[in-house]
Amino acid sequence: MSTPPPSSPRQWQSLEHLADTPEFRRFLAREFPAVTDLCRGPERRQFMRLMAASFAMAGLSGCDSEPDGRTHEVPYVNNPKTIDVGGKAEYATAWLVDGVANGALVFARNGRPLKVEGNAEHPWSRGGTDVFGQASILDLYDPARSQAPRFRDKASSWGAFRAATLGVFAKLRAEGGQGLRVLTGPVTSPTLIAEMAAMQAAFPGMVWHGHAGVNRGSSDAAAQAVFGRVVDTRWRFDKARVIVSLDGDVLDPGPHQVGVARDWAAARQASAKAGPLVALHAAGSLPNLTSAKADFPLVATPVELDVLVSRLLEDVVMDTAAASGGTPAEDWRVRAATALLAHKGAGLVVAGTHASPAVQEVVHRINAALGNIGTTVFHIDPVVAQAEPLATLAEAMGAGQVSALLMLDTNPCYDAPGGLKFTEALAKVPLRIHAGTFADETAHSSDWHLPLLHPLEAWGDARAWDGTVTLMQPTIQPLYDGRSCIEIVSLLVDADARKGRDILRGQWQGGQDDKAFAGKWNGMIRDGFVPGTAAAPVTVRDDGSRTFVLPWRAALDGKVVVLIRPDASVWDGQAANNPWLQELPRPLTKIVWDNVLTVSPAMAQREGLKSGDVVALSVGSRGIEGPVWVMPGQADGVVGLTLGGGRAAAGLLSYGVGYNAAVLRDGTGDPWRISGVTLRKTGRTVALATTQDHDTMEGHDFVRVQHEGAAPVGENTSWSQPSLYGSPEHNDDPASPARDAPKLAQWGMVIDLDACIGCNACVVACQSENNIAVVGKEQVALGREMHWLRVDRYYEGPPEAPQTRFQPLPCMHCENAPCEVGCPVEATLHDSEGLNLMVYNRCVGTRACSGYCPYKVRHFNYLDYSAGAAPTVELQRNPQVSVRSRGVMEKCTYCVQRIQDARITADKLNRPILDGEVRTACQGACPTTAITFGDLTIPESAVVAARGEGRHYALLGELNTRPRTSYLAARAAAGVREG
Amino acid sequence: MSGILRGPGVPDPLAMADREWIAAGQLVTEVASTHPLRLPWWIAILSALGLMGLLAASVGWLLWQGTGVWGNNVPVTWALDIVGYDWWIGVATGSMAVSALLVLTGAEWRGAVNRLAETVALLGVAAAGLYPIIHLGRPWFFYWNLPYPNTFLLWPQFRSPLYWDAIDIVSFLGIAFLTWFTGLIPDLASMRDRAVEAMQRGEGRPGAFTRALKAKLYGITSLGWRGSIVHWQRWEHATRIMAVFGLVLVVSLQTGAAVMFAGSVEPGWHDAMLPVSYIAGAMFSGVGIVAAMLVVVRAVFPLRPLITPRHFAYLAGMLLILAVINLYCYAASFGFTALAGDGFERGVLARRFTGDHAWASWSVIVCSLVPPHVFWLPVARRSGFLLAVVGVLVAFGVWADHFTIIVDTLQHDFLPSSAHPYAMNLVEVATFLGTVGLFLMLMLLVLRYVPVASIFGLSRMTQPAEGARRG
Repeated sequence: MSTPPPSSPRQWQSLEHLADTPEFRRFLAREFPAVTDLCRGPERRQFMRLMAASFAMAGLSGCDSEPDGRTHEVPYVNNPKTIDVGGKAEYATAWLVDGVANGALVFARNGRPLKVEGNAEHPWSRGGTDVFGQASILDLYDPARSQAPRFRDKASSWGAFRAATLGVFAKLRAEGGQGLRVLTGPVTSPTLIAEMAAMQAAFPGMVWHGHAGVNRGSSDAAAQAVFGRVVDTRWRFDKARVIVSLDGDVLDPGPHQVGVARDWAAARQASAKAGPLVALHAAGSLPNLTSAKADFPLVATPVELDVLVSRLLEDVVMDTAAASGGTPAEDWRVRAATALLAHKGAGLVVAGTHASPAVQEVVHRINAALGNIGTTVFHIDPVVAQAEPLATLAEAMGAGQVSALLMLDTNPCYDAPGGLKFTEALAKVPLRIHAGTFADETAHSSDWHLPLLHPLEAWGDARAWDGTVTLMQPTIQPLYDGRSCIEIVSLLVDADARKGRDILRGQWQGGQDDKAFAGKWNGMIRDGFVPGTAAAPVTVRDDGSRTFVLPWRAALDGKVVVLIRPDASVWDGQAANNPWLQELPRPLTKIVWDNVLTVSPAMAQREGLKSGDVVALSVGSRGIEGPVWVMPGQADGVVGLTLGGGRAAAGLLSYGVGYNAAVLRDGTGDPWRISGVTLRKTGRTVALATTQDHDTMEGHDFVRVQHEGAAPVGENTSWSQPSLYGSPEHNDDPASPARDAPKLAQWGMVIDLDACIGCNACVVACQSENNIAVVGKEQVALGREMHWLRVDRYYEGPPEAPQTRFQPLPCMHCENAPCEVGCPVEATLHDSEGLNLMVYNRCVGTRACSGYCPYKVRHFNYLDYSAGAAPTVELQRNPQVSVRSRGVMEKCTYCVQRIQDARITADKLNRPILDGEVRTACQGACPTTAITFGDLTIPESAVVAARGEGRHYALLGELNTRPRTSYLAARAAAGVREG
Repeated sequence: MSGILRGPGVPDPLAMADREWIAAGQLVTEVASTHPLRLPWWIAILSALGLMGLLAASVGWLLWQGTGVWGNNVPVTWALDIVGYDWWIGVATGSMAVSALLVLTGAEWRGAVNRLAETVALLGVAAAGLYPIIHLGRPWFFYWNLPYPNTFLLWPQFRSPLYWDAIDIVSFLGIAFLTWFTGLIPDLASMRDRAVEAMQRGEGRPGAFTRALKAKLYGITSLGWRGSIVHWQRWEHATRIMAVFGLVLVVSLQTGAAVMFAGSVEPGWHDAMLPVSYIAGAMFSGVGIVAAMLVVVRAVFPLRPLITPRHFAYLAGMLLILAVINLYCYAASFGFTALAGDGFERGVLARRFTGDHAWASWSVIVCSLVPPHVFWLPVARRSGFLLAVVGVLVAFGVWADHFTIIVDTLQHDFLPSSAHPYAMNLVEVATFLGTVGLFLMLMLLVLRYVPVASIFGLSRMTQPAEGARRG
């Protein structure tokens, strides 16, 4: 048995570091050739062998007495000192959305990363997460991931790649880099930027292009036009008294969502306490989470929006709100302008990434005119490195000026604008190198495809939305033979290819002394970010010289306007291969496994369209086909498209799901708005799978709304209804023996519907934590989705301009649980701490509990949904949670395994479980801290405080179910019409 | 004790010449011992076997894949499985109730009806009993529903209506079998006597072994019945005790099945009226099926002297009475909900009549509540054809009633967000048709090997041991 190297650190640094033993080196040399075999699809035993080896490293290599000591897998006799078997390790790292980081803590057990949590210390994300972060853990284990280099679609090796490109790059270097182009996705990594700079120096003629499906060009252009330079706009919600969103996306998914939603929710909470509530006015053509959370939403066509924006600027400049013309848009403008003028310097006007450059320009000017810049609005240098656009690359390729193209972590053959004809142009490039985590569309059109490491198995860094440098460390030894972007650049540029860790450490060490830096480095890696690196505000001034022209031309001649948005689940298609995200109901449509073309109810009626009808959209020679979805709250005359569908690389899960909206883009104009599009009915219909078929509350008050200044809408009567049976935990009789019984925790959860933005992070977190199966589109269509936690979406008011309400619905853990009465075998029962338990191995599957459940939060394994998962996918499963077999009911457990974890800790320390010590997966994931969980017997606990609020109520409390999960009513600002 | 169904002054239509009765008795035994209907019987049993094949295929697929092969979902966790189950036990308990009531009221004309009713009860519960097992997510653990000693010291959950339903159905199966079998003992003894005669007559000739086997089987099953007066007395007692048990179980099983719904808080289920409606509905479908079977048996077997239009008239009368009772239940629950129900209950009610399964609610009215009213006309009451048609319609109407109660509530209960439509799929329908096949096949086997009418009951009418009372 070899011992770990003497320097084996307490604080985890690097797996290689730990395993730097001769035995392990031998093992690696022997094992790595076999990795390529895995390309044929990992066979379980072989895979487990590799995995076991990766995890065990020094430990197992010590057992290596036979030629292959791993023929028989046996449990550890002596635990390797570096792995705490059964124990939990956590690594501070990050997940990236379009290159922008959010701080993550990745929990690993037995060497397997299992769950992404928010890093509470991270200055930007502050513990919140989004769907992309939560789902990224599954991507790590995706069996479809690219596993070895490929040359012209045949398995190859890094050695072969190096050999084949060495000469080419030497020649390019000699020629001053002429003809060399690099295309990347959005890059914020200081290390990669430094490497690119070094590469630029080595190849002076090289051109660096940047490309993203979710293009920030409009924002950059607007800043350039107004301020004369490209800056990013950031907001101080805490200083705002009123928020006006013009085609905004502040609460919508994206790199900003976690922190911005947190800021918004905190500002709203604080203002509700201090009064008056900071109201959100939101105008837009397509409904999104921002408009859904608005106190004053306005549905406006793009034309109306342009008019509205310019009139609002006039109001602000004239310092008085012009009289309303009587239309809803005019009334909205007057209300917003009055509020803004009343709070000069404390107003906040925001526009979305997808808003037209002209609208964004006007928004800059409104903020400038109101004196908001410097108070609620500030600017920073762009977080994403500036690079040449894709269009010029396509042009250069078409003109034959590109001799070698390196595409790093980007998939232009899928998401390049259709007008650029990128794939055709790419064919003219003599040497095409693509690096990606999947052998995707671009990989198939390239000479070389290099597998990228997943961010959770690589060293790296990236900036967060506020500029904070966030460090990424591997949470597992790479599963496959991949390399990270920084390693690939090093491979091509440096004489000796460096390892990711060395590159990263070198970047941050700079000129510092190695010994002195070691401590600092450890701290940085442990924290997962570099403190004090948030971008400083830059001063910009609107010179006011430039006049802007709103681009809108009203003449439509029977054509429609197409508005493109990123998909709330699969983003621009990067995440399309993730089954959790594909099966994640889109927040507003609740559609899964598809993207749709949304149309307004009026347009649907006019054109004779109904949801599911397939229509063809075409502009010029470019066209797509997709199913229509009638969308309440959408402006008339526009068709809403989402990115992320229509993946064309065979072998991927996402193959053939939906349409590819990027095809309609021309590559030079506004990527988010395409006008003059012809809509044609095809006469075909497809079935769409949704998880919610009914939009209204049918006259009930499932989601209550607390209007500012109105009497409290909450009630606690549902807790005091008489019962035939005494319940010990609510026994107030001092003579009762239960009073002297040892004090038990009583778990409860309160969900603040005002803070909930419907983002779904909780849903994916729950899925990740609790091994919830993905069932596929057909099963969802049959009504058999398995999500333990769903977010209900209701509309109030007319379908043309409704108010939207979200309501997350986990198990209510009713004290008088109707489900428990039904079960004949007592597979669902109450424990002494008020948890409604589900005993899977006692369940026979009568399904009575589900039928009896008034909330229908139970889910049944109609088929063996969890069986047949790829071995890699099985690795992701949380060993603390049973994987449910066919024929078994399942539901939210309040993450009982986490309660047990906390109990073990508390018992060891001989103290009770502290308030806030148990955090359910959904609670931990929530970016707006809408979910409070804790012990109801601790009078000063957060959950008791939440229960004492005037907004507190029980859903269907009149049934006397006494739910332990309860709600805080949504808030509505003064002036919102009471429904 | 001439039976409640025979008022004074009405000429006894069932009185026939003794000669005819003896012939009839022979007729009944002929059917069982000589099998006079070879070809139609074979055609019928092959069709039933076809349906059984459907059952085997659909249940096999179900057991292999899981309940997901049906259209059930969340929220509609119970659909055709529990509809089928409830309907079959309804038919079974309804027939049992008919038989028990006729026994206890001493209706002397019952001989031809009782055997059939008891058989329907037994076979109906056999068909029903399949569902609680196969509908489980993990059917191989069905016995966990029952209280049996085990090393885990685990017991069923005694508050669950499902547990008591399991107890009910097991008890009912026992009582139904015993009732049926007890009634059969004297007849089996006659069969034995004939078989022994045949065996003795045919000694040494081909087929002797079969004849001996037959005699032995009838001998064993007739439990040494010698027809002594003591036997008769005990038999009489046993029959009546069974009938009482049967009635108790009818009530307990139907209310139990109703409490499976009424015990929840679900709108449209949480209703104190439901157990009453269930008993009324069960009687309704039971009489409907017995009536239809009676007409078919009379048409197929040469039993015209035994099953007369007068029998039809009695059953038609019962259907009419039950139609009125069911109408009352239906109208009452409609009225209570419409006038006093909360929003959720009214919503369920409205969706029953206007939703995607509105056909089911309207079928209840069109098929079961309205047609029996044709029997206000005396002519109609004596028409076998009408009786069979109305009987089948009523049974279908009651099936539709179970469907609408179960599916419409589950499909959309409290939260509109959890509502999800349900559609029957082929496997479920095949499973249900398969249970019909199972029922028919067993019925054909019984009709073939067991006297279709009580020989003793018939002979008792010719030799009135209780003649004094008849006068």
